[in-house]
Amino acid sequence: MAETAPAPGAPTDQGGDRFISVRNVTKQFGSFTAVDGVSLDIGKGELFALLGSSGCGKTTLLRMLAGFEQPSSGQIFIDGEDMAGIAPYHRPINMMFQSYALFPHMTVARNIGYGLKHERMARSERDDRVAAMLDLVQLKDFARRLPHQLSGGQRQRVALARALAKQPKLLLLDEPLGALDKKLREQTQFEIANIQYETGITFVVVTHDQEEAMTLASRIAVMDRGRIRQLDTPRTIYEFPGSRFVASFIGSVNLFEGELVRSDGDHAEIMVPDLGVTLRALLRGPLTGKGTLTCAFRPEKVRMTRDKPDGRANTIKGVVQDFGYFGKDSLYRIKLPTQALVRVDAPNTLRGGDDDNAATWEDDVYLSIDPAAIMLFEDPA
Amino acid sequence: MKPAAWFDRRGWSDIIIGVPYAWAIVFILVPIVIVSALSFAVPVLNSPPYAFAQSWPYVSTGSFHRLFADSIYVRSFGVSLFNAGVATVLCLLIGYPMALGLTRVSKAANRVLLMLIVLPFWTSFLLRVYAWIGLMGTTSWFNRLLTSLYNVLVPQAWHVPHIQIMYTNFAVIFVVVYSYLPFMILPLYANLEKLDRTLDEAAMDLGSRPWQVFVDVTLPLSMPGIIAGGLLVFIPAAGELVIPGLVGNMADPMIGAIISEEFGLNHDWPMAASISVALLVVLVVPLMAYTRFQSRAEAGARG
Repeated sequence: MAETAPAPGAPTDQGGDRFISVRNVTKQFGSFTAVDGVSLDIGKGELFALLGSSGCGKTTLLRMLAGFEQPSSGQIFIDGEDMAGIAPYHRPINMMFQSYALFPHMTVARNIGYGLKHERMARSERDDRVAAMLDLVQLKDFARRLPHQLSGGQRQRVALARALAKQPKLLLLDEPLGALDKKLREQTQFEIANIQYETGITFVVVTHDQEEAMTLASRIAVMDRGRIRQLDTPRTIYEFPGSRFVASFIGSVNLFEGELVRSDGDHAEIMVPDLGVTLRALLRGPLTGKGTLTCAFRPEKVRMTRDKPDGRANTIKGVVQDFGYFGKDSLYRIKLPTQALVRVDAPNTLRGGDDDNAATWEDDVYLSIDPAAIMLFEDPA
Repeated sequence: MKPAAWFDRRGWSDIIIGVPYAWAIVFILVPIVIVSALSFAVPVLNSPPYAFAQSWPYVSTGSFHRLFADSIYVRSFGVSLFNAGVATVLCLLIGYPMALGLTRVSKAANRVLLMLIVLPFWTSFLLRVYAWIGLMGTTSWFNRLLTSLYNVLVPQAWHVPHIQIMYTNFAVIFVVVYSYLPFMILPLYANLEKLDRTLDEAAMDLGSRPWQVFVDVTLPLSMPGIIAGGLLVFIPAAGELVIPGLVGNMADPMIGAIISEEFGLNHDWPMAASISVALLVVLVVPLMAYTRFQSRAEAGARG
């Protein structure tokens, strides 16, 4: 594998103290394997994300942590304690449900205080804790409302407060921002990160939304078909994906198959028929020469100019086929003489759009790709 | 506006809304008014066997006076409400676990079990009551089995040759419970089936054991179903005529039998009408309470 990513599932430095340890966990429903031999370690106080499309096993893994499902094989340790056979109501874990699952017949305050009634604490202490939680999520004035009298964002915060009230060792969040609109999501994801920082509780977030995972989490496990494909920081996963799958799952990417012409230590030259050129790429590890070689580069890493640039590597000529204007940037689809399409994301740096880059339909443009921006994957066919 | 245009715009919706209203007026409101008016008449030996007074105030409250003066009426009201109340509680105790079970079994099992619950309706109600009469009679195998079980369990001095089940209030309650159980289970099931199961998981996640989850979440959220099922059993059971007539204690009748007797045997239509009005009042009060509860709950469910 050309990219230097840790092997899938391998613990990294940040998760070193193994507060939560998932050891080779498999979950089967009949003949269907939902989670397939997953191992991972999560450090104390970490904000960890399980990212994957629906059916990838992330929710099953979360439900096994919560105790709603038992692993078919493998072990889960939380703070050194084996969770096998421990019922959900005995685990030091609370969960924020995707649907929030607020009790419709209880007020906000009773919802938040519900978990505390099982703990031996004085009524005044309990009331204080509920008040503190209401304060934390800024819902002081809503204590006596019923859930249906709240907006979606307020319900989300009640659910968060309820899950935090027992001060669990681990908080599980199932698609915490899924039901919120875009503006509210941006605000809320920073709130969640702040609350995590303030409380110091370990958070595990399950999401299918890569933006949510990337902004919230300190580390992300990308899951696919029950397995972890890559486990790393958001930056590493985006910039140095370990496989073609992860590269195309996270963000958008141009993928072209090629053939190795030659390599000279730290650079490789790859003939890419679809681009009609030989690309020069920076090597981040030795190539094995086995399997299909894929060159990948992200649209925003491509430089587009209307004049032929001097002395730049990997320059390709093309025509603007179409483009979408998004305000802060524009997404272009450039048609090459080979008929292949390349996606280019160009920032609109100048007001009014008189930028040299602001090409329009049928314009001839030159694309150049920095050798360091090209990712190489040797995935088995 | 042309009639056709009016019809397109308003006509259909008016007709659709109007049909149930017309039904309610013709078959519920008008009969209630007639019965209420009758209850203020006096019985006469004529056809029809009632008349209104010829001078002011034209109405007589004599029937209502008798209703409270003669203890048989008050007593049979008591018997009716007691039997219906006990039967409703028993239906709830038996029906709730069954309804809850229906929501927890597989889809295939659910379909079969639901059919089994409704299946008795395929057989004539009277036939099923007669079957119970056969089983409860002192010479039946069922009664002999119960008797020998009883005799094994109690000291010699208490032994009985057979257990008297027929012609007791117990028999009435027993057959009422048997007959009305589906009316408890079905609304309860409809209610429980709609409940969000993630609420159970949320309660469990917050530290509640299964029985606490039931008490804190399932039970309060199933109140509308309990009330609907309870009324569907209680109201018809309180006015039940056939079951006490067949298996009940003739010396201690329920109110349905009294109404029937006043109307048919005694030809005292005003008396029968006044008892009916009294029964209506007794039964309508909980119904109105229910409607209030229901509309409050619905307002609560919205949003």
